Amino acid sequence: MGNNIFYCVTSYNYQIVSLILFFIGLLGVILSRNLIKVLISLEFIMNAVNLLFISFASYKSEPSYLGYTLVIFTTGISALVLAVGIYFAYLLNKKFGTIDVVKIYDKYKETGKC
Amino acid sequence: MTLNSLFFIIFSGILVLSSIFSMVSKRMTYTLLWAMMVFLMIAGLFLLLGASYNAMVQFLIYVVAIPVLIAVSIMLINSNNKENTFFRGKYSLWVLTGVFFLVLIIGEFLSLNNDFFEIIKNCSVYVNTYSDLSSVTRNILGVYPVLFLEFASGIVLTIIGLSHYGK
Repeated sequence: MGNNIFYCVTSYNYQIVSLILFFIGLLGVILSRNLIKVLISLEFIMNAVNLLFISFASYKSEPSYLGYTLVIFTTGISALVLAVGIYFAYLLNKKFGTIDVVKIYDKYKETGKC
Repeated sequence: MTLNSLFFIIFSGILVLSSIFSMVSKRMTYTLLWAMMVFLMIAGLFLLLGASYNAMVQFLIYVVAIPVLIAVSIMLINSNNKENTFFRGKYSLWVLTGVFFLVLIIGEFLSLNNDFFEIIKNCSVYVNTYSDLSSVTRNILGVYPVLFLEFASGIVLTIIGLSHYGK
């Protein structure tokens, strides 16, 4: 009864949700051709890791703010990564006329320069 | 079933479904809206875990700031340049918006009772409260943070919708 999710949510349940979100993000990074969708998938991955940190910090037996503080920093850094990635996507679109990563790679192979 | 379990199941279910829809959607605007739903549900899970300050930061950065950035980049890159069917014949947007505001309104009523954080801690496992920084949040946003969040999310949804509609 104690391990039933309908009775009590444990850290294990949060780990499962985090794992599912992580692998959906990983599949998005691998399979998506749109560069912005790849960046959003990266954000999914970072959010999955953040959720894991918070769940570990919350279910610790003694109070510790390390996980919470770390998540604030990773949130800011991931926002920064997204902003820089979007700028690169804009530059690539300006250069190649598309943000499809396969087409960009084909055009790069044709021209031989970026 | 405790209220904590109920909210966990709702949040995590919407999270997983929204992330799948976000990856499957063909239009970038739909991808962005489903991704906003994912980030919002993660903020809800943070709130369930007692990390209210992290939930606030998550909301303000991932549901307010980053979607504006991505929406502007979609406009600049013009990667969504099919015919404009954003407001026509698509029910998913209205369902999404309805669920979004329903969750916020329920959260608002629960937070007004001041028993919300006590109710969700019915779990027998010890949940560490993040009381110091949540008091900072209350000082910044007042006693009605959810009203502020509703207002901010309404503005973001309006900006995204109008920017797409005006193309």
